[in-house]
Order: sequence, then C-alpha cells, then structure tokens
Amino acid sequence: MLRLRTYSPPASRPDRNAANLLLLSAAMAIAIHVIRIPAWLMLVTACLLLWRFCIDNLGWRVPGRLLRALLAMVMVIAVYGHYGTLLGRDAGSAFLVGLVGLKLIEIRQVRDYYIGVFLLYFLTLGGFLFSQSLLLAFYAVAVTTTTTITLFLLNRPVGYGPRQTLRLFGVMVLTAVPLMLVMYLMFPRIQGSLWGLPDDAFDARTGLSDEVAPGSVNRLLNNDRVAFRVHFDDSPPPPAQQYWRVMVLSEIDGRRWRRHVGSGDGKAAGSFTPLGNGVGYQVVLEPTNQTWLAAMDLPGTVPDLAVARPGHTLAARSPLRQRESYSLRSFPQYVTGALRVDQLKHNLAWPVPPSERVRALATELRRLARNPEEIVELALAHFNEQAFRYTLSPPSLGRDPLDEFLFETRAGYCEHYAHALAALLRLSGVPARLVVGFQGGEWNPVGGYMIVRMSDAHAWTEAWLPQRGWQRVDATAAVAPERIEFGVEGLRELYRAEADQENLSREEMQRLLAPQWWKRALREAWMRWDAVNDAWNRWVMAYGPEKQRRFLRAIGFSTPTWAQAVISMVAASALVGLLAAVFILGRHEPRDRLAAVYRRFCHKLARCGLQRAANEGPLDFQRRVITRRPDLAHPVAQITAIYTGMRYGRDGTEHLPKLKRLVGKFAP
Amino acid sequence: MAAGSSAAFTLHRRQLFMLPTRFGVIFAIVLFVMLLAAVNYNNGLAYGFTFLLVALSMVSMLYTHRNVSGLTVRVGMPTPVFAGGSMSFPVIIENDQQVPRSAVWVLSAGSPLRMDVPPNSSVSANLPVPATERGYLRCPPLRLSSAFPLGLLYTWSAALEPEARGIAYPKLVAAAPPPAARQSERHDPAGSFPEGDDFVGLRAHQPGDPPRHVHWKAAARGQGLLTKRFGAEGQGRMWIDWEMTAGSDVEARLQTLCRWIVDAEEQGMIYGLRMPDRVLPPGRGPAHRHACLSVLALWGLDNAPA
Repeated sequence: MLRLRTYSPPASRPDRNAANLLLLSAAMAIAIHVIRIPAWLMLVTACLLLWRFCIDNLGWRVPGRLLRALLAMVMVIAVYGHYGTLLGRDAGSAFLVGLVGLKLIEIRQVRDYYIGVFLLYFLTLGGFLFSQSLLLAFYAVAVTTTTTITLFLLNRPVGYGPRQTLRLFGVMVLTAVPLMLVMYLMFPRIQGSLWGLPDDAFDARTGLSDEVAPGSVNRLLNNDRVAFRVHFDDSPPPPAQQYWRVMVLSEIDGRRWRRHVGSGDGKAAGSFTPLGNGVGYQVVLEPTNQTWLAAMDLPGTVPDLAVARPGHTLAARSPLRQRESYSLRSFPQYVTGALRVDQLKHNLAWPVPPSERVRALATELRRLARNPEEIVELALAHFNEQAFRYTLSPPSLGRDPLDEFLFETRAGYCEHYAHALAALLRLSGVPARLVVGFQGGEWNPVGGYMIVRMSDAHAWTEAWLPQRGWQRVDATAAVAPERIEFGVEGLRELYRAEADQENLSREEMQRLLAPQWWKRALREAWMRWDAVNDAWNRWVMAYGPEKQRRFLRAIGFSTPTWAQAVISMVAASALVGLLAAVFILGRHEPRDRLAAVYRRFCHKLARCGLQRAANEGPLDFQRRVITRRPDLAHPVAQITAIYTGMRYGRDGTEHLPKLKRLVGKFAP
Repeated sequence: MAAGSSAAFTLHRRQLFMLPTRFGVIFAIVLFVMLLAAVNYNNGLAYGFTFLLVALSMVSMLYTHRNVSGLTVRVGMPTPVFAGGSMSFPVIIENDQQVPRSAVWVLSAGSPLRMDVPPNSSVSANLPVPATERGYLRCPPLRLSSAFPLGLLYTWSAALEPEARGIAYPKLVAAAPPPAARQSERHDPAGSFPEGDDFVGLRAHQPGDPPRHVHWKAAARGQGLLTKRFGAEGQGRMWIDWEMTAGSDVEARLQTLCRWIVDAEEQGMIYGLRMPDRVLPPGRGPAHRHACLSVLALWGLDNAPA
C-alpha cells in the first residue's frame, strides 16, 4: 500500500469537459431505463442532472451535506414505497438511477468521478436484465464509450482533440473485441443461477394461460409481441397445416376449459402412428417465464429441454427465462390410438345441463348422422350455413353463454367457436377437447423463417373418431377461412377497409390486402431488421452451456472440464493479448521521419569518409565535417541547423520537407 | 567544474512496472460483481459487457505502458542557487516516437511534476529541489510514472539516479558588516585610490563626506552610513579576504564573504578572493562571481575539487 502511494501519479483535477461528458453519459445510461422507472423518479433524476449542469456551467453551488443526506433518504424511502423492496431487478435499477442522480450532484473530486463512472457501468448492465436486443447492445457500446472517455478526460490528456480521442477509443475498442470474444466463448458457463433469483428477475410475460374462457385468447389478439420464430428444414407447410399446439384442455366446468390433471387422455406425445413424411424445423422461442412449448401438429420427437405432456404436447422442464431454441419433427398426418373407458367418459362429460335448444340441436345432429365423422361434418356445416360470423369484438354473453352464442349473438372468434363445437360434439356423443396454441404466422422472406406472434394465438377443437383417433376440427376455419389464410392481422386489415367480408371473394380479399408500396418497403425493412435480430439471437445470445460444450468440442476438447475451460480461456486470452500488444506497441516504434532523414545525411557523409561517432552530437559532427571539408560548410550548416531546430528546439514538422530536399540535393 | 551531467536514460520494458491504481482495484471489484450478475442471471449481453470492460482495461494496460516506454530522460545542469533557496533541475524528456505522451509524471522527493510530450519532440520542465545547505546538490532519484489513459492502471519506472548536480552557494544573509573598515587600513599594493568617476568601494562615513556619496541603500538595509568611494578605471580593486571576517563560526564567515562578493559584483567592482589555502586574483563578471562563490560553497567540503 505504501508503494502504491509512493509511485502512483496523482490524479489531475477534473475539468469541465470531464464533468459534462459524465453528465451526458449518465443521461444516456438512464435513457436505457426511462420507460421502466416511475415517472416521479424520472422527474427527480432529470432535475438532479440539470442541477449538476448548472453547477458545472453556471457556477451554482454544490448542495450541502445535510441536503444531500436528506435527498438520499427521501429517495430510498420513495423507491422502497414504490416497489416494496430495494433489491431485485426492477427496484434495483430504479434505485440505481436515483443513486446516479444523487452522486452526480455531489461530485467534487476525482474519486467521485470514478465512482460515478462505475455506477453508470452498473446501470448499463442493469439494462440487459430487461432486454438483450441487438439495438440495446449497440447503444450500450455507445454509452460505454462516452463513459470510458470520461475516465480518459479525467487524466487531462494533452495532444488529444476530439478526433484523436475518438480514434484512440475506436482502436482500443477494436483491440478489446477479440479479447472479449475469447472470454465470452470460453468462460465456463453454468446451467441455472448461483443463488435464488428475486421474484422479478424476469418479466411476468403475458402468455397462454392454463385455462380458457371466452375472452382469454382475445386478450392476446392485440399483442404484437413475437412468440416464436420457426426455421423449417425444407419448405414451410401450407397455412392449413400451420397449427402450433401448446396445451390440450379437456376439463370443462360448463364455461371454463382446464387442463386435465391425472392420467387424462392418452399417452404422451409421440404415441401415435405417423402417416407420410414429417416436417423438420427449429423453433426459437422468446422467453415466457412459463413452461409451455409450441409444436406443430403432431410432434414426433421430444427435444432435450422438454418433457412430453398428455395430449401430444410438450412442456419445458423449467420456466423459459431466456430465448430457447429446440429442433422438432412433426407429422401433419397421423392416427392416434384408442381411448380407455375413463378417458372416453372424461372427454364426453358436460357438467351443466344444456338449455332445451342446445339439447335439441345435439339430438338433431345425432339423428341425422350415421357415424361420428358425419356428426363432425354436420356440426361444421351448421356453423358454416347458419348466420355465424367471425369478429374480434363479439357482443358479451350472459348467463348461458353456449345457448346465447349458438342461437342469438352468433358472433365470436376462435375460442367461442372451439368451445361451442366441442360442446356440441360432446353433447352429441363424440369425444372432444380444446387445443390452445397458435395458428399461422408471418413468413420472413429475408431470413427464410416464420414469425409467430402472440396475436396469432388460436383455439380449436379436436374430436376423437373411432378409426383415426384425435383429429383437428377447426370451426373457425369453417366460419371464417380468411382467418386461417390471412391471419388475424389480415382480418383486422379487412375490417379497417370496412370490407364486407361475408361477400368478398378470396381474390378480392387478396387484392384488398395487397399493401401500398411504402407499407411494403416498411415491411421489408422491418423483415430485414428482424432477420438480423434473429441471427443475433440464434448465434450470439443463445450461447449457453450446451453451445459452449459443442464449441469447445469443436476446437478439440472432447469432454471439457471447468478447469480445462478456464485454462484454455486464459491461454487464448494471453495469445490474443500478445497479438494486441504487438499491434499497439509495435506499430509506433521509430517511424521517426526526422531521424531517418538525418540518418541519410550521415550516410552520405560516411561514404566519403566522414563517419559520425555514436557519441558525437550533431553540432560536434558539423564542426568536424567543416574542418575537414570547408567546401561543404554551407549545406552542412543549413541541414544541421534545421535538424537541431526540429529535434531539440521548438521548430515544428513544417520544416521537414525542406530538410528532405536539402538532404536529397546534398552531394559531398 | 564537473557539476551537472546529461547522461540519458531511455526507459525500456524491463525498467517499467505496472499495478492497478486504487481506482483500478475498485474497478476490479466492480467487474467481479458484474460477472456474478451475468452468471446468476445467465445473461449473454451482461457477460459480453463485462468481458468488454475487462478487455478494455487489459488493452489500456498496453496504452499505459506505451505512454512511458521508450522515453529518454535527461537531467540538465541546474543554475546555482544560494542555500535556503530551491534549485531547479531541468528534466528533459525526449519522445522519438509518433505518438504523444500525455500525463507523464516525474516523481521525486518533492511534489510530482507533470509533463506532456508531443510526438517527435522533447519537453523540459524544472524539478524544484530545496537546497538546504551549501555545497554540491545531487539530483534526487527520479521515477517516471503514468496512469494514462484511464487511470485504472499505472506504470512506474525503476528509480533513475541522474548524475546531475548543482552548486548551492552559502546562504545569502541580508546584511554583513562592510569589508571597507579593515580594507582601508590594509593598504593595497596598488597604492591609494585617487578620486575618479568609477565606483571603487565603500568606507565608513566620516563627517564632511558629500551627502551624494552616501550609500543610502546600505543605510536602508541597516548597515550604517557608508560612503561610496570613486576612483579611476582599474583602481576599483578590492580584496575580499577570509581574514577580514572574524569569529569561530565558519558558516557565518562564509556567509559574510558571500554577501561581500555579491555586493561587490553588484557594484561593478573588481574584486579578488583570498582564502587561507588559495587566492583568486581580482576580476569581475558572472564567471568570476561564480568562481568565487563556488570556492565558498565548497569550502572545507570533501567533494571540493582540488
């Protein structure tokens, strides 16, 4: 410690540039959090930053210790009051924002600046707990650069204007990136967390819920957030096959469908007989903080991170807290097996007695049909032929929703239809259940993958037929085929155009939906951006223990242990660091043009026998040369004067060309 | 006179050491906490960010090293000062490379000296060293140090021990009894000093001396009334003699002689110095003054030149 104090150079007193750059960096870092922190905190912090600005530039006084302590206390209490805690991601970052504001107004010494800069680093890191997008990554690099340049300015560099400073940092960052990559790739990653995470570690995402009542899917229809992206191994299947099943609900209390707990309806996913070839694909699922996984009807494999659930669905082993990807093979054509008696009973149950009209309709269906297949067909035909219409804003339903929907309002969206169809089938003696998931998606032609959004959420019915087992029956498709073909977004577009969708032909709809040129351009730009992000997510952000194992195996560690990973990381860092050292230290070794010119002059004299001794100064050498060769007195004196003027005096580089010319002409 | 030397030190890799500053130590802790957060939240960008900062500080190490490495340090000969003053050693740093060297600190016993050396040039700054007593003053050991560019790491050089030394004359006392009283009794071999235009010296005031010959400056300094004596060119000679001072305190006697020499030079007299073991023939001018004062400075010291 004593040595530290003895040798360490004193820190310079910070100047106004450093202060203002720190202020700018703080504003930039706080901007990462601006939409998440409460408005009052934003306001207070903005005032504190403004205050700092006035202190640095208008000569305001730094507030006294008492006032600062008071402000800090109020801040702590207010944040605690708002979040009920100071820990965790949300409260923690809000607290950090306030802390940065408070630290800024009390900055006086170099030490305070350093602490301020370190706080800003923390604040930037905190932003990543909310989002890991490519955009934020770029922004964070900008924030880090200004923050770090603040440190640079604290040392009061001389000879570095804004351009030189930026260039210096450009080179520094570029040199640091390979080192960072080595550490990023090789630092041993672990599965799970070191200790328990606070409750708010991850967003409570809106997602599919475990139960469905009319209205629960509708909630999602306005949610444009991407649910997952799908990369197909070959060409994508037609829209009519793009049903992404997530959950199977077979328990009904008359109004609300739930997942059946218990042995339920059949064996796990995969226990079916596929007909024809499957479709291979990779799903990149956005974090949900839930365990559901989407799989196209019907998944034939179970990826590592998942377990098979009843009803041919998949679930993750633990809540998905970050983007996960998994590969699957699905079979659009299939036959599932027989049902046990208890399963039959379970899938036929209807707990509340239906109204007279509903009972009559069910009886009618059973009377007209010769077998279950025909019951399904007749039921679908009923929805198709009667005046049912598909709408995203259905009238609300009263005490007997089933009766009112079937006979009075006759307007609804997927879950109304799925619910009504399942009810009719069960009441007619055909086992039926609800499937919740997604339908369709948007094709990204740039990246060659499909984007499925929360708004693509869908519910449909499955009926159990004696010969074929569970088969998908989508009443929505019968009522509004455009929903399946154009998706919810397309429907909304048609509503906006106030088109009478009942009477429009498919071609007319397509024409109506063809976007204007600027929309197309915007869309294409967005698709490009999404494709870049997708690549970022798939190749950069999804790098975890599994991918690391694969990477280390690829570079030659068959079963890498922790120790091996650390050793190889250190070795690789050292290697890259050495390269950086050669790059930075080697680049600037004597490219001293002045010395080179003078060397040439000496060389010319040496050829005619006047060798300059190693310890001979330019002036001594000049004297010796002139004594021996008085004829050279003029040029030698001229050259020596310019050289010594530049080397030891204050003459600038503007004399270099003249010196070069003189040495060039010099001919002893 | 062998005082001063311009032996140059060029700083190479082996003479440079590096450690984190106290901010660097705090920064290391910050990085560790950030890494823990990245591991705990299993957050890819947080890993990337932390490693970027680690990599940046590693790269800054190279820049810190480059900021000092290859510099050539010379310490020039300082101007002599009187003991009790501060001797300024000119420290010259030469940068023969294309990059500017900023915030290079010269650390020594006293307060540190900051130097910024543009590319391909050299810069000089004065390192103040207090001259507490007369005699030779060696330049204290120096270290070059720098925390450029981020202040997280600092490099320092091995101690450089420059040969440069300067001379500190005896302390310049404010007042000394005038040599004139005894000098006037000791008739110079050159004979009496006839009146002339040239100022030749001082003697005690006697009634009847013209008032414009009174040395009022000396009177103001509390040295009593003195009369300026004027003589013709070549006659303003004066011997400053060890024997003219009395007392057992060698330092006080040297200081008195020192004062006389300074005054004599100031008054344009031709003066000689007579010490028990040597005689400096009369002369005047800065070189003569320096020669006389150097004899006093080194009087009785081991390192006095023969």
